[in-house]
Amino acid sequence: MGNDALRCRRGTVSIGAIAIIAVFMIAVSCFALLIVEYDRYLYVVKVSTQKLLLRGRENLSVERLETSKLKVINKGSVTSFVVGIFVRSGSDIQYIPLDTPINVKILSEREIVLPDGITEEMDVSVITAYGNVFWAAESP
Amino acid sequence: MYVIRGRRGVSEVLGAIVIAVLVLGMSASYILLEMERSERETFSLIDLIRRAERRQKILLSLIYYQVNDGQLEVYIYNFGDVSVTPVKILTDVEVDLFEIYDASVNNGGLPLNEIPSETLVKLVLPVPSTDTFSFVLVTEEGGIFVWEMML
Repeated sequence: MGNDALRCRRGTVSIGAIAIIAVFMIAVSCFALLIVEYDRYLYVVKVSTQKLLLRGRENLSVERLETSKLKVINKGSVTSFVVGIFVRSGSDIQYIPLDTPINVKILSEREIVLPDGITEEMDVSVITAYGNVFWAAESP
Repeated sequence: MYVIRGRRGVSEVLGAIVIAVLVLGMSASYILLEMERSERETFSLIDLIRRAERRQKILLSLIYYQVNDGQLEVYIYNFGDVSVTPVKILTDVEVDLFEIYDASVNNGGLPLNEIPSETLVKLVLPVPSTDTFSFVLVTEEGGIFVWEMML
């Protein structure tokens, strides 16, 4: 009988140990979940911060060569991607997104052919993938 | 004597069993309670982190603004990776009614409820009564953008 009681007490101790281990495992799994989420958040912060940093480094010089052409010179310290042409004529606004972004490497220049219907009187600018807008100056 | 000894033995076993059942029951309840509490707290923290993550992904840029036909037109480019839903605009006062349109010539005039990623949109709202004001855009995701404007 004494042995049975002892066995039961041992069992009780085992149950307690299992309970403690289970609680510990729950805590560990919750903590692991939080670490994974926080790690993802940090990655998003890194990407966003990088984008904002690159945005600040963009510097394009845009010139109207002829009525239908733009010369874009990259004077910044980051490759720019022109995603669209923004045109203003009085209060009329046109935004022409490009099918494929035009990349302008550092210290290089690219010519962009403007779509039909854009006259010399219109103000033209380019919009980049980093959300900057650069207005064209008349060529000297 | 025999009977008494036998009874004592039974009560010891019973006592041990009762204690074991009690410990088991309490442990199970504690584990269940702890699981529920941990799950609740963990998910509330995860929700907070995910909201902050969504806010971080919002990247808007003011391209141009003008007054046209008695309305203020604001051109905003979304250079982030996620669509953004404006819920509130403040100028000199809170703007009750504003409209969002796709600004590209391909989809010109298409009304939108949000600002899709890599898209230029035109926000149309009443002209503020003051010439200089802060244009505040609040998004559903919790982002707040402020641009100073002068008419």
